[in-house]
Order: sequence, then C-alpha cells, then structure tokens
Amino acid sequence: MSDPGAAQSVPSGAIDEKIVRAIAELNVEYAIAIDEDQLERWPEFFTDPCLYRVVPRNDYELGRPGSLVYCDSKAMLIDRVSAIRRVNVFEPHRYRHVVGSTKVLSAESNRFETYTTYLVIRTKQNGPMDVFSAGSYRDEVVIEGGGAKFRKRCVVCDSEEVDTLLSLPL
Amino acid sequence: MRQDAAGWHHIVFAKRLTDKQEGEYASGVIRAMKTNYGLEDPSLIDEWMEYDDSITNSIQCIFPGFVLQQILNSLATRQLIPHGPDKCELVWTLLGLDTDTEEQTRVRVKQANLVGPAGLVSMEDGIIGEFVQRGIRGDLDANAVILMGGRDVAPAPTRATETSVRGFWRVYRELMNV
Repeated sequence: MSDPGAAQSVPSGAIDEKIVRAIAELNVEYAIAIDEDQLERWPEFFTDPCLYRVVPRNDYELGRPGSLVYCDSKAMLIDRVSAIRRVNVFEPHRYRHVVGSTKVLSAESNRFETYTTYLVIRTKQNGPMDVFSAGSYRDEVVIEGGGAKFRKRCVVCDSEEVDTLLSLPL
Repeated sequence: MRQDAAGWHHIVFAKRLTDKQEGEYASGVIRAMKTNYGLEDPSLIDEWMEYDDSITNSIQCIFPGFVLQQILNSLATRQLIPHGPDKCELVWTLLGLDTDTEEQTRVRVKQANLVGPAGLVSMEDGIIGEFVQRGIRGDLDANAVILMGGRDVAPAPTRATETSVRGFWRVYRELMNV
C-alpha cells in the first residue's frame, strides 16, 4: 500500500472525471447501506474474490496478518450479514458513518489505490452516542462496467480498543 | 470440564469430530444448530488437527485472569484486566507459530473471524455478562443467585456448568478473606 502522505500520489485532474465520481459514489453508497440498515447490499460493493479486513492501526503498521474481521470472498461477507441478522445477539444500535474525501494514491489501468478517512458514531437504543471508531479506509478499487467496486477494503482503526463488540461492518 | 480440586484453574475442551451430538447440543440451545444455520463459505472452518489429541476446542483458564485458547486452529491468549466493579478490559493476542506454512497462517487468520470483539462466536461474550447482571439487579437490597450445573465445585462431563465460575469465586473469597 502506498504511503497516503507521499508526493507521488496521482494529481487530481489526471484521472477521468467519471472514475473519480464512480469512486466517490461507491464510498457514499457503502456508508448509506450500513447506516440505513440495508446490510444485504453490503457484499455487492465488493468484487469476488475480494478482501475485507478490519485491523487496528498498530497491527497494520507492523504488517501483522491478524485481523478483527477478515473476509476474502463475497460469500464470507454474506455469512457476516446472515450472522448479524440471524445468529449474533447484541443490543440494537446504529452507526453513522462520516466519510472524508478520497485521495487516489496510485492508478493502474482500471485499478486504483485509495485512502479515505472515516468516523463512525454509534447510537444505542436508549440514546447515548459515542465515537465508536475512527480511522482510514485503505482500498483497492476496480472499475467494472462503468461502476466501481472494492477489490480490497482495509479498515484501519486508529484505536485498538473496541467497546464491547463489533457486529455491524465499519 | 476439568478443574483442580480447589477450583483455581480449569480447562474446558471438546473433540468436535467424536463428541456425540447429545446433551447440551441436542437440546437445541445452540442457536446456529437450531436454525440449521449454514455458511455460504465453509472455508472459514477449514482446519487441521492442531495436536494429535483430537481436541478441536480448548479453553484453559489460569487464575485469576489468564486464558489460553485453541478454537480449531485459532490460538490466542486473553488477559482479563479489571478496571472497577462494572468495567473490565479483555486483551486478545492472536498467535501463530514460526513453523506455520503460508496456508496454515491463512487458516489461522481466517479462523480469527470466530473470536475477539467481532468474533462470530465470541462477540456476545462481553455483552451477555452485562445482560445477566442487568437482569438480576432487580432488587438493590436483595441478592440474586443463578445456578447452572448445581452448587458444587468439581469436574463435569459437560460444558453446560458454572462450576468453573464457582471455583474462581471460592478461591477469590479465600484469598481476599471475604
């Protein structure tokens, strides 16, 4: 993964406007699907095979393979959704994703490495809100048939602490 | 479930391939089985026999707050750090061996989906205790006791018992002169 602060990032304007829009739209729809309880749409944002990982920043920077969540196929993402819907027990809560602008770190034909900041506020059933997670999405996006999909979405959480449990996707 | 005589430490284990699906499982209490729950991608539970004892799951608790875990091929330590009467922290450290092949590392990484705060198996472990505490707190001037598997502290042929918890508190009270 390229260094998000590095100068060799692709200058804005060097990428087709349509692709920039497709990537932005992917990020917007991804957050809406989770925040508006349309989890069944979530696997559709990925290619198959794919890689979806949630990893604390310390572990990510040390290159450790262990993850909080690690799915390398669309079917594994579907299994996550069905576990949330049918098996796992937790208090009802909602996420609100606030997603920053996307920086394209590298471009190679239809494949783009991107970096996007995210913030997730969690609201519990009876009202209390807290900053549940903040960090960055380190993604690999591919353009297929005019639309953008994640070949890889690595959710790098700034904190290695999780308050009680992480059930809904970040 | 095996436990030392005083109740300090215990180990619970299962042999998934040979344990009979009777007792606690056949009673229908395991949600995933009750609903015929299946995985779209069963590679999640691809495994190899970690040791030649045919044990597939083993949780070993060393008094007061250390746990050594083997769930299929997911090896980890857990450290329980109390922060007060109503707050604690659980530190998970996932382990691999330096002799692991690339494929074995992949299997361990994948099976880590079962454990930890986002674990398909473990995610409830923190909140369930809180649910129970909230549920039995009804009368602040009274005591509530929930018994599972009797009152004594002794090894049992099933994991559906709280003898390990009773053992912990018996030793704790002794050490703290309660």
